[in-house]
Amino acid sequence: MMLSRSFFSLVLLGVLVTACSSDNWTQDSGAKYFVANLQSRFADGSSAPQTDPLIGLTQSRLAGFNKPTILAHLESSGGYSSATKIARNGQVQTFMTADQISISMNHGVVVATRGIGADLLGATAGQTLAHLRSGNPEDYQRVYRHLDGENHTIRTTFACHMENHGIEKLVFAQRSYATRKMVERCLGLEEEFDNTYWVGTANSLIRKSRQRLSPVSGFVRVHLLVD
Amino acid sequence: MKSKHRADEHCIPPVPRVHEYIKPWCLRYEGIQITVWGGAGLNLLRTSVLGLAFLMPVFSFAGTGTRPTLNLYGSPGLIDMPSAEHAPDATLSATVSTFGGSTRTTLSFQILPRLSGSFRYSRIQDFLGVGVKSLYDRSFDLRYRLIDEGQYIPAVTVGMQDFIGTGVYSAEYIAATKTLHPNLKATVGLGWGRLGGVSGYANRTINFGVGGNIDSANWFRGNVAVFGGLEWRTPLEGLNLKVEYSSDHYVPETIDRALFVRNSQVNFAADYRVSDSLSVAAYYLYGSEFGLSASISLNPKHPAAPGSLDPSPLPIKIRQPVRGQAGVYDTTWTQQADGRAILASNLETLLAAQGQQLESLHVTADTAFVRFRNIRNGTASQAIGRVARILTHILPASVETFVIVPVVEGLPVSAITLRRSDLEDLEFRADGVELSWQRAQIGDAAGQGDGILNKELYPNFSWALAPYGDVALFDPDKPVRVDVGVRLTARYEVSPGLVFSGSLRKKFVGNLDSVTRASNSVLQHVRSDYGLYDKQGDPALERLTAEYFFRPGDDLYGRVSVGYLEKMYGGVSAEVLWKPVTSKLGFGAELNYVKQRDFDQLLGFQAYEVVTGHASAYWDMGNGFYSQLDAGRYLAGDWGATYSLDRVFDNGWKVGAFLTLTDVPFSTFGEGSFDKGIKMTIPLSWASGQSSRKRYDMTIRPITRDGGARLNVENRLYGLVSDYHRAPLDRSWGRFWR
Repeated sequence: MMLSRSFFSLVLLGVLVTACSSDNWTQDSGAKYFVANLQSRFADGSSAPQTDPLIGLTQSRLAGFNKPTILAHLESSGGYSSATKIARNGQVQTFMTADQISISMNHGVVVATRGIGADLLGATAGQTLAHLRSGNPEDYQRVYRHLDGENHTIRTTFACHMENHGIEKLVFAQRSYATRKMVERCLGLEEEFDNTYWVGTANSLIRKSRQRLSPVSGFVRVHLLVD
Repeated sequence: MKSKHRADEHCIPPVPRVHEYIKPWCLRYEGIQITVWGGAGLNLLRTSVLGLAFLMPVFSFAGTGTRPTLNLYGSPGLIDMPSAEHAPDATLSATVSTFGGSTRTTLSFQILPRLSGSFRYSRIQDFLGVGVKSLYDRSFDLRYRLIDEGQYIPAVTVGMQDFIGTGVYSAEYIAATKTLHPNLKATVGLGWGRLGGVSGYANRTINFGVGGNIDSANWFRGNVAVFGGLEWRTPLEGLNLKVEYSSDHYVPETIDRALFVRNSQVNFAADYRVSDSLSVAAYYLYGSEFGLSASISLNPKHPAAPGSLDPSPLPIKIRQPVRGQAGVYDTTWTQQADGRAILASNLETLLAAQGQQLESLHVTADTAFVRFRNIRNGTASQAIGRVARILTHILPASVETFVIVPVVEGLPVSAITLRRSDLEDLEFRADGVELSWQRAQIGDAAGQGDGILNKELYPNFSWALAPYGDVALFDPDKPVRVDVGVRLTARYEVSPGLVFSGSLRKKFVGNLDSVTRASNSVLQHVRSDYGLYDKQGDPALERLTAEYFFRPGDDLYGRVSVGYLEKMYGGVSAEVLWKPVTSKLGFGAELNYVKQRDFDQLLGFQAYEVVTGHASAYWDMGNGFYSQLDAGRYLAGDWGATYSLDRVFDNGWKVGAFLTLTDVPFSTFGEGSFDKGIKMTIPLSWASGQSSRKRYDMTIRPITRDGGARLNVENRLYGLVSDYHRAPLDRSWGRFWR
């Protein structure tokens, strides 16, 4: 007999018909994920509203926030989301969006994200902060970590230096801030990128930044709405 | 209220109920969210990221940029000839090609960066008689790259085509490929057998109805011929044009039989890459025939989302020491009579919110032993990390040590000991992954963590109704048969490790019952009567068992299963496994006494009964390779051994092959000579990006016979416990922080 058998539940069937059970956790519905993926595949952001939420933002709207809050914009997705501070560990504050994506920052320098997918697992920030304060042009190292497709931790080292691009006025929510625009230029073996920080001249708070997360996720823009 | 009142009376800070603990985390929902700006909505960021992630597999080869085009045999190559190129490591491709009455379906896997293998199922129309019978044939290839391409030297690959099988496509070759210009590649090679010109195939024999023979005496023997060609990457993105001189004269098809007319040895092709995973090609072949092919490629290394699309975990909660005394924490909570019960209840609630189940909690002033079931996370380290984070929220500050014990089928499979202060210190250290692994202790869980049992877990009844699909391949009468229906499963857990479960299925539609070929096996028909099971087994009681899992001692695991163990056999199965948590070696033994079930797969048995069992050795070889050797007595009473080699990816994918040799002579075994096959496991989380323990297993046997057949009992121990042991945890420890 020239017959062989592969006994397996077809993915196709799994996604076409939703299973039911006494315990939803024990039954991973292929349909749920497949549908979600199909939707997201076509919802690539191009048809979604891309309006900058900072336009038209007023102080009266911000007055409702009773905790430190940021606005995050992931460039690769085109989406915006506000995030509220939910935890502090030493110098690191963690902000969480309503859909449970978190961004952790050491005085405004992003050191971790969770929930994006290709997250920033961890990054050094001490030298960046020191050079933001001092404006020292000397080279220093930054180390980033992310997970690859096999869940292996990938450690990438970059040689960085900080450039002072002078004073720049930021205006949002009907208020203007005097900032120093600082550009951190980083060079690695396979990648180079610039992180940009707008540091308040009055209190050294990073009011706005554009920071690299991981090779896949690209850059996140962060506005400090309420400090 | 009662506990609060009592606590007030004794001035003891009460252990709060969980809603008081989780309240701070509700702030993210209480905070005012910007939902009206631009109408973008809060889900936009996540949804868009999901979209990006879903496209990851599709564009997963973008970074490599050099995935070679495939030939009609589904291997990197020119048109009908091979080249020296290889796909990127771990690439899996499926190719269907057709021309001149031949259709080839090939599954290829890049086993190592230099080594690839293919399994092919071919149909040659009228090969066994014009208008009478087509030849359906299975074949295996191996290719090894001897030399990488350099600035001046070409890549060189040696390959063997159809080296184990009937030998219809039997050939060996050495091919050299050089990139002459960024858009132009040239290949030249020497071929033997099919690729050895007009007389190259003269000494080869086609072993109709036998297969499984390794015709090594003819390898690289006989006439040798030269082949070669060019591949040009055109300015039109994705379009490659190819021309070749073929050294295959198609002697069996055009000289021995007149299946098509061969006017020329020069072939032409246009290959268009629709996306990085899909290619199509059109051909003009041998001066007379047009052909087509399509191939799909993916790479298990490139999931929907590296890391995970799971929501962010809870941040570590930082403790506050007793005022003015660093490192000193209040322990008066230990005096609260119902404190531990409240902690267990709180932990159960938060674990459930993460898709996990609390088995038991034992907590002292400074140490907590937690047993939990990982229901959701396919990656064990992520499940452990999330439990640890929850513990920082639940447990009083004085509890410094967490002993986290994953439980599978009632078996405590390992104990991960963590210091709470390490979690606090390392949460945002850039080197937190490495340091936390260094400081974690991974040990045996036997006897660890008995505590307050989660009484809601036992007894527990659960059920599920889900669709199923069953596919049968390679029958010459109908190469693909499919059944579709529903499967009802039920499970009753009496106590930890004692489980009654069953599976009943009903076919809705399908043609698996249309098999007309009767088994011609001279052995006891232990597997080859599958057609009768499909014909009569509707509805079918697939399984109805009582299972007991236990830990006989340190590093030891045990299982006893009784009942209708699988669709064809019922009886008793007992297994013991020795697998230290930190060892890459494991040894096991399984003994079964089974009777063959009636074809209707209900409650009756046939007369055949057998004692079968194996001694097994498991070896995590490192670099993602696993070996398993099972030696013992098979269902037909034959003695022998099965060797399996799997490449296991730390995201859950597995691709492997196995072969079984027993004391049944090849001639007695029948077609195929011995049992062999390939197998794959695909985790749902790979495609979805979301955590899931759902996996799709697939075993492809070129042929199902009665020699070397094993019992298909569920829940063999190594597969249950090994994911939580040291080596796999080490490799994916980054997910601990995810």
